[in-house]
Amino acid sequence: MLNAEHVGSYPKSVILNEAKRKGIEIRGPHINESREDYTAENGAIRIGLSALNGLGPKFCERILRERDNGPFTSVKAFCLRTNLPQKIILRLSLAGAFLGLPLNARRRACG
Amino acid sequence: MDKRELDLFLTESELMRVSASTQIMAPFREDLKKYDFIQSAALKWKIHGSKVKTAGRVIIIHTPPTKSGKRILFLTLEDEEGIFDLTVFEDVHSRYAKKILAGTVLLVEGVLNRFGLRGVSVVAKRFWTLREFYERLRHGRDKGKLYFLP
Repeated sequence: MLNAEHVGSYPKSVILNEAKRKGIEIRGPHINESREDYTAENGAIRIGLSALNGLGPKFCERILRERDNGPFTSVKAFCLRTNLPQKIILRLSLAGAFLGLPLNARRRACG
Repeated sequence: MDKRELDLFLTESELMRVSASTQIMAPFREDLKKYDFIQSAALKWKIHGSKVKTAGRVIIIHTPPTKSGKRILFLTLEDEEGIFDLTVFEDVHSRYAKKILAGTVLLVEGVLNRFGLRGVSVVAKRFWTLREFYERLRHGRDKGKLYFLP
């Protein structure tokens, strides 16, 4: 329903709120978990990358293609591998798409 | 007003067009409760004909043609607990058309109308915007009380 272009007359926010009221967890976009669109994930709904303003199909495709080579291990690795504009990185960061990832894997490894 | 929750809603909406964490009415709920604005779940327990005050975000506005030719607005509003319907007859919407059509969030006073087994709708009598609500609170008009009903 969420991935359909036009769902009756209800906007996506209403469908998401209704899902929440029914006890379904809504998970934010994440660079290692999200697909381009909304997906079902262990009984929860994962918001897709394309839900972010400014993240068009080209950028989504670039992220997903890079992820096929292995998950992103840090924010720095993500920036280097995808080479996305800084504005998009900032938006992803604000939306919590890097949650759980260190800024720099090596820094974490060094303690 | 819960500014933190409002900031969260605005940030998420600006970033993603949807807010996954909160609903637009949540930041204002404490203030609305003080002035007896009830939520959609409570509407189901009100008796037919009772006067109610409620508030929600406008989702849909319908204006289907009627036999009499009079224009009736059917609105669907959403709050934290669900969605509910409003019916606005011509005499009311001629007075509040600007607020209804331009408003994102509406505060409504009306009469509860029950139909069928579970059907509930509010026949709207008066509307306010959130801005008007907070302006009244800020300026202390009506000595801290909002006289929405006679």
